[in-house]
Amino acid sequence: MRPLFVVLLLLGLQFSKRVDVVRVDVLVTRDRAPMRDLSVADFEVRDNGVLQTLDYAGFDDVALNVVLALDMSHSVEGQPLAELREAGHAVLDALKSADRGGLVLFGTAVAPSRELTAQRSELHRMLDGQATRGQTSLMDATFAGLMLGSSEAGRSLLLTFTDGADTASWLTEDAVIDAAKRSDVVVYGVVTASARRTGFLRDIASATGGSVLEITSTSDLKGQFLRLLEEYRLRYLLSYTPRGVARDGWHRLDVKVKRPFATVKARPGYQNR
Amino acid sequence: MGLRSTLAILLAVIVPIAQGQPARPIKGYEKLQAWARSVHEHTPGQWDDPARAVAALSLQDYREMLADLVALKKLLADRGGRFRRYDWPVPPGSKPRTEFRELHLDEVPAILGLPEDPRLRRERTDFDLAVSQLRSGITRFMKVAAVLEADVAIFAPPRLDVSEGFRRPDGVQHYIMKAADGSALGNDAAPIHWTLGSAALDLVAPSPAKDEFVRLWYRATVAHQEQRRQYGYARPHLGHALEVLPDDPYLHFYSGVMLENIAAPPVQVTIESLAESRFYSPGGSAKASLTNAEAALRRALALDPTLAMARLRLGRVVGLRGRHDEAARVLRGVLTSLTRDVDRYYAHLFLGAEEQSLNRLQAAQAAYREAAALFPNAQSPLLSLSQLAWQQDDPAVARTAFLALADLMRVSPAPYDPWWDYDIAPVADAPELLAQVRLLGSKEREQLR
Repeated sequence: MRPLFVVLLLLGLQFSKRVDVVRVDVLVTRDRAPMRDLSVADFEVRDNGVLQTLDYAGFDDVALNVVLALDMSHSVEGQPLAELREAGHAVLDALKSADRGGLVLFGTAVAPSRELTAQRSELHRMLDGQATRGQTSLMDATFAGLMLGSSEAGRSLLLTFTDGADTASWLTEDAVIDAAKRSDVVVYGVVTASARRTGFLRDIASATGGSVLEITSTSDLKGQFLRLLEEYRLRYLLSYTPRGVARDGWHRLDVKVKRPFATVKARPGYQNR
Repeated sequence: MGLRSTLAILLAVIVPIAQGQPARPIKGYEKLQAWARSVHEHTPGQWDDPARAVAALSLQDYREMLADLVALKKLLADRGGRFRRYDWPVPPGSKPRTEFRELHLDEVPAILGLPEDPRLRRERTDFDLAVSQLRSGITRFMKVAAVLEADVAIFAPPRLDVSEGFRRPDGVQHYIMKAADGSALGNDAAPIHWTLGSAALDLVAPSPAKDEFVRLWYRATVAHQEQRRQYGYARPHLGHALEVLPDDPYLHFYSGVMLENIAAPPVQVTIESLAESRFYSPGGSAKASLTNAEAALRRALALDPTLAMARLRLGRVVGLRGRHDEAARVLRGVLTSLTRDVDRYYAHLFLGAEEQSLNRLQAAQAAYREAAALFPNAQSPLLSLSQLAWQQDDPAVARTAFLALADLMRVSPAPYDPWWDYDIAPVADAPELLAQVRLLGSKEREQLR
């Protein structure tokens, strides 16, 4: 039964936005450790205050789409770039065979891979080929990452690294956050402590149910990237067909877990039209 | 008859010096004399030995020369004055702390390497005429000097020993900071050569404000500074330029461009990074800079309503200030006046953003498509078209625009988006303007010989 549902989900949601089915990516922890034994009956989801009936709750059936948006601007030059590449390669290597990866490398220009792919070698080559260049188009790159992450069915993680503030984007913060609210992609950010104006990444992470990790050094970037990937793998995917709510507009989401001391992190809502 | 005899007398005086006799040394003015020799010997536009000699000036040399030039300006403004007594900028920590010196009018030609004139020494009826002729010589000399100083400022390699703070009239120690990608990289050299160039042109007679060379020099040098994104230099330089030429539309336009750029993230992020140290920036907040940018652009357009690039900039600034309807009106209106593709690209791109802000999504899409048609390898219109389609719940169109964006990175040569150079696009003609200034400087230099 479950595999059939997943197939339908794949066909129905390929580069599209939720119309009939709403998917919510949820991190549930207790004592900071992900909880792994939850089922549909443990969750309570309200869409604009209306209790919904869940079709699915799980974390191990759906392949992951993992997009890395990596800051290759002038400020990353030198050792941090080498560590960033190493971390990127490690994440690509850690993907399972059914998972797909994508890259968005950015300086002033934004260079996204054309599509999500299970062919890691292509992505490894791309990661090694890009030189540091120019300023930081973080918002443009984040938007490109959202589009890439939305291009295939599955659960999509956009893992963004930057060591600086956006200095060159054309798109505005509001436009990109709006796009995020209309997608299913979860944004995780990794920023160095010296990075300025991290509000954008924090806002978009919050809007998508993700989080931002602030690091003091890039020396263990690989370990940090892998830990975030592992955390993402252990998030639950919930899905339901909305009932009792208007289709268009902003939908406020409220996700609860009926277990003591459970902490839930999920997007606060989603936008339809 | 009177005029002819005057010319004859003048020639009689000039000839021996014009033949190349070295100027007699004037005690206390050796540095200014050495500088004057460089002015005479420098070939405009070249990084030659005279330019190198001037580039080696220390901050103390600069302070002394600036004091000399200011004193000379005051002396020339003092009708009938034979000398000027003025404060001498002793090096910090010197004793005594203050010194005075006197600049005598009859020694000025020897200091600057100009023809000496005995009429400047005596109580004679033709003293005023001699001063008038001296002013003409000084005017020519100072124009050549300004070209030299601009060349040194442009060509000289950075010198850390002149990067120390310099005190401006507001009493605050100022530093010029270098920055890249929003991060401060350290001090840059104090703008001594731009200041000396300006100080030289302050001596142009009858008035710098009425002199076309001065106007061109300021336009060219400000354009150069803005093209190099040297706002730390451009801000005080433009400030002085506008004191001299308050009704120049281009200088107001450049001022508007500079302020719009100061309000933009690359500068604001750097300012924020400095705020945590003991530095503060007099550059102002983004909001204040945009307010001032709008005022400067409006002033430029009041002086020259045909300045289409100023209107384009005004449209964007008004939009950034939240007046989207007005911005869209201005941008639509300016489209027919813009001649360069790059400016029409900006107008369409900005118009698209304003239409989107006004929720006129079809008009926004049309504007973005116009921009994309002008520069098919530019990523910004594609990003907007994708984002707009996503907003309209049209994932297929969003995907098409995204794929076009992804494909851009596979074309050769590398894609170019004029948006990346929006900040310097209005001053793309800076090299041509500088070439014109140098050509005029060369002609003035020939006249000095």
